[in-house]
Amino acid sequence: MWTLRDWRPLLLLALIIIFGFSFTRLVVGHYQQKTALLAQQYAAQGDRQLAAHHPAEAVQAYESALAYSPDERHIRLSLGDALIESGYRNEAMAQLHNLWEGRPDDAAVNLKLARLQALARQPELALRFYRNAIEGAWPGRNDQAAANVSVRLEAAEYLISLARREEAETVLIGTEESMPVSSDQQPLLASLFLRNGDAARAQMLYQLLLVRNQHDSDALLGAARANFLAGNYDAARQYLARIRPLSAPAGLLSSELDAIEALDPFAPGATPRSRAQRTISAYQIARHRLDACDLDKVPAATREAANVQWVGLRQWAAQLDPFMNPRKLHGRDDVIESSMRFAFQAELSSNSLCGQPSADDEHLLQLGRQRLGVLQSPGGVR
Amino acid sequence: MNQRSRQVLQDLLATPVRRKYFESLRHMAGPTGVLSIREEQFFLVLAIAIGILAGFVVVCFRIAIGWARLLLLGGGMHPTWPRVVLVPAQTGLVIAYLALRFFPKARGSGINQTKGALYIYDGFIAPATMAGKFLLSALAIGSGQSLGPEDPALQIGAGVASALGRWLRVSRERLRLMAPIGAAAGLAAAFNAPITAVLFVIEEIIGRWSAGILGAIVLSAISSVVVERWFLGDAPLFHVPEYHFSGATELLAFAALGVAGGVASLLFVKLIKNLRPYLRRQPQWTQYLQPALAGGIIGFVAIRYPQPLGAGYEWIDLAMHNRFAWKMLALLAVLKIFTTVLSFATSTPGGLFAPVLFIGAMLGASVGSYEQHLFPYLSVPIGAYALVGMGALFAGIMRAPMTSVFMVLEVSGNYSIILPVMISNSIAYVISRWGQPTPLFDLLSRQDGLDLPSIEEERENTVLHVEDAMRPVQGRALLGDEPLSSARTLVAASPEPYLPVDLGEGRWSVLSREDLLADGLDMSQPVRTIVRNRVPRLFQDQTLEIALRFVEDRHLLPVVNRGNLGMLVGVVSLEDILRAYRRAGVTDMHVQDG
Repeated sequence: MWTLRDWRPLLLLALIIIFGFSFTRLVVGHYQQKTALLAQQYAAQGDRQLAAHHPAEAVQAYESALAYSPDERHIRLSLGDALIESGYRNEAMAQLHNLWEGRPDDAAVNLKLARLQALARQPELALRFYRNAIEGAWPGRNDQAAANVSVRLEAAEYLISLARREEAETVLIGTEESMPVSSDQQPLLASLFLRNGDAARAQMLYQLLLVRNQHDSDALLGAARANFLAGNYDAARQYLARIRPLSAPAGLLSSELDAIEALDPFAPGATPRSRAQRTISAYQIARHRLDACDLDKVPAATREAANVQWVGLRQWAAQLDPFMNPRKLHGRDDVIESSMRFAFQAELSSNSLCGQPSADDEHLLQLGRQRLGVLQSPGGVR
Repeated sequence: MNQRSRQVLQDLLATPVRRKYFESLRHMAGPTGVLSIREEQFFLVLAIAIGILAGFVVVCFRIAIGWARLLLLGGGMHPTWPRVVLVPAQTGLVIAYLALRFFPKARGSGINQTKGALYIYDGFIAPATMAGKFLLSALAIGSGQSLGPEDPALQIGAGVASALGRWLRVSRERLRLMAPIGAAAGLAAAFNAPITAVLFVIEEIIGRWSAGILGAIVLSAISSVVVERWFLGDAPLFHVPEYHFSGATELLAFAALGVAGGVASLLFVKLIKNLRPYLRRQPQWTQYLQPALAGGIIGFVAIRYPQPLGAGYEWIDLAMHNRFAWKMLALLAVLKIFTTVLSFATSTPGGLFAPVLFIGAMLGASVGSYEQHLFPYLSVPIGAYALVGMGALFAGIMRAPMTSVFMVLEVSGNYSIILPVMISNSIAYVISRWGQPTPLFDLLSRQDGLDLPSIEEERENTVLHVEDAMRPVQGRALLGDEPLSSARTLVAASPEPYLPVDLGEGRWSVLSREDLLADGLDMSQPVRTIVRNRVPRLFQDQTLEIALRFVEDRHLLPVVNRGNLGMLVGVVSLEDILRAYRRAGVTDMHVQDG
């Protein structure tokens, strides 16, 4: 048994601990104030350098800020931005992944990761992060709804660029439902509907915009495009006519409209005669493109498949050829439709194998895309 | 005691639980009212106090390093070139002067000094040494010398414990043990990792597992970490990316890292082994210039590459997040080896813990980046390589393999990484052992003229067991209940001079031939009537050290089966034990080279 006969040392020890605690608190508090200030200063310096497009200096400043405040998410996020600007994508990705692990529902981090993955041509990963960003939260932001709409629009745009129309449409419809009518993003949403081939929804949104401002030239142009896409050439012309003064894009659209209508037998209001003539024109343009194509210049790897395809197309053309006069086409909607399908398919096949298309070929291709969704039909149009 | 007091006491003792509690209090207070508790219990309370006080001091130490860095090198991670050229060199001069004139024992890392306090100075660490370590290490690390705060914190913690123990006048035996308790607290607070601190102190300072002190070490380490986290927050040292083990191919990649880590460890230790004694052999006046020279060279390196300045934890964090290309990472590892060797060999106060982790992280990340460049399908994050690299270098340089594994686990908080860490660390450890048989800290202590025990050597020692020395009994054991006439017949047929006697219920004794053949014995009486003393029994798996403790002046000890204490397996005598030691050549084991 060991005895401590005097209580005073224990009392003194307790006092020393209390004193030590107070002293350490004072010292640490003072230092932390200083480092917090330094972190703030370096972060601000980083922001300034980044704004001035000096990403390398910004990286150094953010790194210094992080040395004093390693848990500040916004500094790490800014460092990620600076690294992306400096071209250090992998480094940025690692920084952002670290932030993501700390808080997987942070929409800002998910959005940046999605952009990086898109740049790295990793569409599935990019879409995963876009989805996370759409469902995530925006800590420290007051305009959560607006930020969410922006992410949705960006994700939809990315999906459209990947030609994933159905997924893009879902995102766009979701955005339309969550977006206030007065939102500044309405024109962008309408244009995305249009790019995704949904002319009806685009037209509806442009009309809403025109209710707000009937002289909105962008909305008028958009509405014209939507009607053009839907094959309502007259309505498109009416919108174009309301644009004062006529802008260059409007003029271009107007001439495009005339050229394409001249090839479209399905245009509303087309007479039987004009339908037959348009079908014959389209057939001849496609036939010419097919005949002019030199398959010997096609790469050896695809030449055999191209030859097989060409044989099929020529057989198809030979079957249609006897019908190619206005009299025989009169009342033969089935032949007209088959002729247009042939024309679109021939243009599509030639486009990838036979070099630069002429203006007529391009108009025919565009018509095919608009009217039949040729591009979205992997098995062809036959 | 008056009537009223007695009544109060009776009320208090009304239930058994209360009675037990108050009896224990009365027992503690003793008849005279002084605090009278077992020293072991008080020691545990003291361990907590040591942990708290060491925590305060180490937190202040870390803040002091931060302030020194701010004042001397400025706030940024990329100091301006005049500062990096001038500051480490000029501060080196000041440090050398103070160290040589006022704090000679504050030089070096602090680990061997703490070990020396335990094994040579009965736990004594002078307050001046502690103060010197605090001041000079803060100046050195803050001015950019390539050293870390952990080892000095360990010595500072030990100093706090030593001062407290002497002040409270604990027994000499306990005072000796207080140094490692404080050391664990200091290291835990500096590294924010209590398990690592406890294991490191056991592996490196105490040099052996000691159950008696383990509880106190754990308590002090936890207390100091609680203090450290209270003041500095519980953020980890590194933000380690998530890692999931996904296949055996990854293990090959980590094995390659183990090889690289082993080679780098060897390079580091060999450089220190040769440069340190060379610099110490130089004239005394050059000792004043050596830290300044080291600082100057480091400064010139830092004009282009500021990463090796100081402990460098912030750079480790960046390396873990893919901040640098593999060539840059490899260069940083080489530069850090070079600058740390310079700082350490010139006896500048400061530790090796952080530089070793820095080198390991850079090397690991470099190997990882290069492997990913060669084999893009390897999806291991660079942070995982950096982490495993730290463990590999720690195992190779510090030669504390258990600590190295647990350190990585504790720092990462990710148990998926355990297999890569174990593989990599084992390879690095084996390569380091092969190329440099004596561990770094043993090497340093021998260069300083000390011979301190090391756990690695203890591991190498042949441990002999009772089964190595025991021999079978000729015939059988005597039974306590059998008549003496039967025992005499057995003795007559046996060549043994001593025979074990089974007294039943696991109790044993030994009788000599003379005892049994003596005249005047009643042959009808049982053997137990002439048994004078019982003897302890042994088991085959016990060490010969235990057997030696029991054998004393006894002629023979029975070795019995653990499952059946009445079953005699063999016998062992002092001669048998000595013969076993001679056979194993253990008597020559302490003759070793430096």
